[in-house]
Amino acid sequence: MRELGRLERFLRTDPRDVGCDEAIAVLHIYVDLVVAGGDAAGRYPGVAAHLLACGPCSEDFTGLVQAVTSG
Amino acid sequence: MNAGPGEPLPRRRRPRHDIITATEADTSTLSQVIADAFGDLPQSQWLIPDPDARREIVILEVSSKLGRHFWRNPPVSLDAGQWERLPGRLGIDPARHAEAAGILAEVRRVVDSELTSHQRRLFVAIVVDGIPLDALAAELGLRRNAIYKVIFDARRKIRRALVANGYLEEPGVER
Repeated sequence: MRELGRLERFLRTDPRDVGCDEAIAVLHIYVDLVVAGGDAAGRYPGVAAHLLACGPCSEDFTGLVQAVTSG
Repeated sequence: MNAGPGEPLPRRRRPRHDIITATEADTSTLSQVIADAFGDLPQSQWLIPDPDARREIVILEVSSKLGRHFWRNPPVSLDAGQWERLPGRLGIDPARHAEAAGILAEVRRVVDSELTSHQRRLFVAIVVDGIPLDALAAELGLRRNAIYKVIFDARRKIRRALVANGYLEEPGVER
């Protein structure tokens, strides 16, 4: 059933996911790459996988991007 | 349009995550949290010359403050176990709740019988009761990463059980 797609997506886990600590440790580099138009997800696939799954880290990422681009 | 984390971002966009969310603060709350975060930053951090580092410190401080702020007027207590709200939290149309009842009952069975007590408590708090991850971390004195890892393992365990019992057909991304 289509409505359960959200549950199914949530239950998917990506073994490349590095977790919050490792993602936060390189997030400023990752953000610089994104803002510069570089292949951040290709360079850091584990961080990209994490940002797709972790709401708080994704929001930190978004906030950093907005801070950098508006500063 | 959903931009991936490696792609240039539009100016405004909706969060990509589905269930694990940060605190959904209203504007006035967020303003107060940001003001608190700036006020609590040690003066030594004001003097960090790298603007990126300063921004990162402030954002992490705000994230932490948002987590603690949640408990000033918590909408739910720990271990409330509001399973009846799960279909709504998953965005399932009320008219189709009966159709979803089977798989959701299986999710609950796996949570109750196959997760460890620690996994169960954190899963119920975050996924069922909707407590923001950072708020739970602040309340329990745990790191965000520690809770994320527990939920990650719980997600994998639940998915495996759903596949094994015929509720889901594909194994998902995990290998």
